[in-house]
Amino acid sequence: MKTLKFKIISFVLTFLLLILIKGVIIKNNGIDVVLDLKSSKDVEIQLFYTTKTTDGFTEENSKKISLVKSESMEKLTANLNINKIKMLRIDFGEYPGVIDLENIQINGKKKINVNLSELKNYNKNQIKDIIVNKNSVSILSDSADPYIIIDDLDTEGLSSMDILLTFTFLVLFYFLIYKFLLYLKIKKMRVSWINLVYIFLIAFVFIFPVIGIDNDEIDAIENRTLAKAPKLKKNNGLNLNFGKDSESWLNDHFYKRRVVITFYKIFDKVVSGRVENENAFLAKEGWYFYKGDNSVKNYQNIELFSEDQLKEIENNLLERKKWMDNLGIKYYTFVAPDKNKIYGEFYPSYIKKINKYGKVYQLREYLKHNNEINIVYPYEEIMKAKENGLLYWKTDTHWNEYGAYVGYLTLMSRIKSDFPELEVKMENNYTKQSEAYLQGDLAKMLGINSNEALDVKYDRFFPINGYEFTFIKNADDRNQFIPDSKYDFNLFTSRKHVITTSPKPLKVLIFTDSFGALLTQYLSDTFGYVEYIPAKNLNEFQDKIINEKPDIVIFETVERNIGVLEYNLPKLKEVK
Amino acid sequence: MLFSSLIFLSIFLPVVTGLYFMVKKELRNYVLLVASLIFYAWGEPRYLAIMLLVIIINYVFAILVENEKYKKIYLAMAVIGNLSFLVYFKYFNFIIENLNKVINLRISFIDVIMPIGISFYTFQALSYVIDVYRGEVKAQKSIYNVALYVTFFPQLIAGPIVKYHDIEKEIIKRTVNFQNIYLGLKRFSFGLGKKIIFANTFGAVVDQIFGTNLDVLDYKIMWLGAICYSLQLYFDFSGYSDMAIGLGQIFGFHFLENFNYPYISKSITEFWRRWHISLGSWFKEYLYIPLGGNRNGQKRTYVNLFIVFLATGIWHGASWTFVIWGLWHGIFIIIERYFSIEKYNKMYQKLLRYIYTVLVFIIGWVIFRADTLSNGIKYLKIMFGLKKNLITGYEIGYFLNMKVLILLVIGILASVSAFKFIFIERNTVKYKIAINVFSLIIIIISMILISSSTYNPFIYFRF
Repeated sequence: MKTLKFKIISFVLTFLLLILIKGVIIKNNGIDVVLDLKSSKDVEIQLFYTTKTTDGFTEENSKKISLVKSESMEKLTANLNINKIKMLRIDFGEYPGVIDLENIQINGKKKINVNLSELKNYNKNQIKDIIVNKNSVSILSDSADPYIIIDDLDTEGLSSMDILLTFTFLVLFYFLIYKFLLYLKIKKMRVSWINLVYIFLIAFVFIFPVIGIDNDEIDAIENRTLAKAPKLKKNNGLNLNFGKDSESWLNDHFYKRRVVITFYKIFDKVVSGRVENENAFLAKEGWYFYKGDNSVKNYQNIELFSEDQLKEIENNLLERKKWMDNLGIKYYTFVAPDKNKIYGEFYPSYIKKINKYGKVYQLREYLKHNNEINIVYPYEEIMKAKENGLLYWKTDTHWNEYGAYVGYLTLMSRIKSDFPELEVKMENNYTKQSEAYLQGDLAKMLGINSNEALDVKYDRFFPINGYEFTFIKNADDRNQFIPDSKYDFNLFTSRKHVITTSPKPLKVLIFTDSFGALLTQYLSDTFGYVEYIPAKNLNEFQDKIINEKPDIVIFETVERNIGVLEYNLPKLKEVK
Repeated sequence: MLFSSLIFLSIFLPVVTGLYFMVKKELRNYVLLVASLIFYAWGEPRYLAIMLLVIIINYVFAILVENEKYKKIYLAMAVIGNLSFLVYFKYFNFIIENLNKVINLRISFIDVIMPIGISFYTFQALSYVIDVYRGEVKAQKSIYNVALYVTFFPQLIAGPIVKYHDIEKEIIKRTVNFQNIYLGLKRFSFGLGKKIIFANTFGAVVDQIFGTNLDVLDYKIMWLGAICYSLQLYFDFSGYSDMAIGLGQIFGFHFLENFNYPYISKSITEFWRRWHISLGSWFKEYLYIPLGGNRNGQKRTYVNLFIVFLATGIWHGASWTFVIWGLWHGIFIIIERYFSIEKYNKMYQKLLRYIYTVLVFIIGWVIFRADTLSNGIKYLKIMFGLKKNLITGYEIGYFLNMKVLILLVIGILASVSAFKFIFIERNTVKYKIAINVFSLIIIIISMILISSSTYNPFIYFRF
């Protein structure tokens, strides 16, 4: 009898809860943006959105979706986790091409179908033409950053009752109440209400990360594809990594992930008085430095080369040179200085140098007795140029266009002694334009959006008579190079294979890391054929060098990776 | 699965707890057993087989050992069986390495990864069989109960090592109520905070210092590293024990305490009564006493202590640094016994004893942490000014930011029981609210820290 009474009370309480909170669990469905479209290439579409007409577009309020190239229309749906939308900016990938659009639909409380024939009238960027077909429109862009802003949207997000969750929740609630009453009665337990509230609050904090799942596929700030939902079966068998997979998935998709991470960054900065993690740190006057790859030790010059190591590198470089000589190729080693060597004055004072000069300097001095070896390290040149402007980005580990230019000049002065006919691009060939740089790999590693970056201006270099080179092969199959588009760092740093041609003489293969990317605009206008190959080990490409028969081979590395010169495997083959 | 992961806190724990309270009493052990097996198999399902084998072996041998006939032989077989798992997975390569070195053999290493928690659960299993052998408890008729004892997830991965006779009754019958849930959760929250807020912060400093070339550091930084490591170990391990004890309590189990402010000890003997108590008492009950304990004269007692601490060192890992660390403690225990150190109790004597104890365990931890013995010794030399680096690459500020400094101060005070008063239960409403809010804040901070550790940006230029 007693238990029946409890059951009834529990039921009534559960029912009351249901009425009180109206459906209990409201699923915030946000706003769905549905696009029917196709593209001749794989593109990454980014949707920027605002909830007010006065807001600007930011990476935080954006969502990336991938479109795989296809012959037929694909339906792409992106769920924007907002309850109101005013403006939507659709970025059609990073490079020019044609995209056919059949439908743009915004599904909130209202369903809005964007009138495609009106698309022409919206604000747009780098879109050459919009051709209205029978059922679709074709968007033609000739540039790296095509987008359209649809600014007349006004709908609230859709919410609905999550039936399954609500039912589960109600059943749980019912049992909880019931059990609770039983305990109170049977055990004659005096439960302190304070402790009871405590238990519920703790349970809530624990469950908070899973009360909603963030379905983003790509995180715009972390710039990576987030973990996919785990599968129990894999390759016709059980997925033994199911546990690990589901953990990565949860870690990437828990509720309010971005908010929590941002909050922590601010909190940590206040408490520790530093902006630092295992990858990077913020030092004096807004200068960021890289921490990985032993960068701090490298700054301190703790380790120098031993006599044996110097000898070994000399032998390797000599061997390389002789091998190239036999093929009729001129070979140069080019070392880009580390940022902390050039702007060490902004390094934290609690990190001290052990030796004045580092490995690269030591190596260059050591090789001075050997006229046969070409090693170019533009340290002095860059240091000297510091009075004329910034040579590295404050928020990035790389040199900027000016730094790369000084590096280029130094390299060219060496190459020109072997090829006097070469025309080096002098500074008066360029107009300079001052621009802020709002990105930066170091800021990204720390998860920081620095507003101070707006006040720092860097010189950009534009050739007065335009670029002379064209791409044969571009990093992401871009068929054009558009340097006067927005400040697109990725355009340079995608270290995929790049080939350019111009009416100039000589064929060059350059094996390079990310520091080579910004050399593109100078080197490609200086030489007739330049191939940029991302590589740390030149010897792996010996067959390619033999086949391509270039006039010049350059091996570029950043200072902190100078150790790669110690390795010369696989051995270079005999050539006649 | 780790206690400090989102998947455990947000999904596993709520689901298991919810189910546990909803099912009938008779089914509760099964819920816990299945949960424990999932918990164990989560990261690496392959090793589930080894654990199941350990369970079956011990279930069978416990029944055999109960028979008067051949009981010694069966016990020996059970002990050898359990230890051989441990030796194979944990020590085999270490033994080979040393054999190769000493007698110039060329045996190749085996390709094994140590199953997580194996040191803990084989010791628990041993405790069960030995308890049955001694007639202290009856062999379990139900293999499920044996399985639950061995695999129970709160203590599966990092202890405490629960002895069978301590838990036997609760496996069969225990009280489950809100008061226990409350106390358990509270205990768990303090453990989680110890691990996430303190141990992880100290750990980051320790990794940096111990990962730096010792030739460019000065003694101040070495001390910082040693102190941070001592605190990291304490907060990590005792935090984990707190979480285990708390979780146990939620489900109605009462595990014995595993730490009792070891860093206030005034002798190494006392230190071992307060540090990892469940391991110390395991060795006492199942090794020291069977060896004869202190009943066979002084010399034999010293030998027994030596053996126990050698075993303690080896138990911690297959490396000479652990062996030396174990012996380091063992030697001081023997010396303390010889001089009866615990009878010197005047104020200044206590102070001297305290300083001596702190120095011994800090030196011990440096050896424990060092990757090689020679690096450990080098570290200690710089720390105590016996070796001085002419040029140093860092000032202490590099490792010691404001956050670390604050936590260091709180951590040191907490580890010497300065905040003990906070945790003494009082029956006033004010106290209850205050302690609950405190615990809630700790949980919130910990959850934020755990969540934000998932930040993992993709960096362009590393290839």
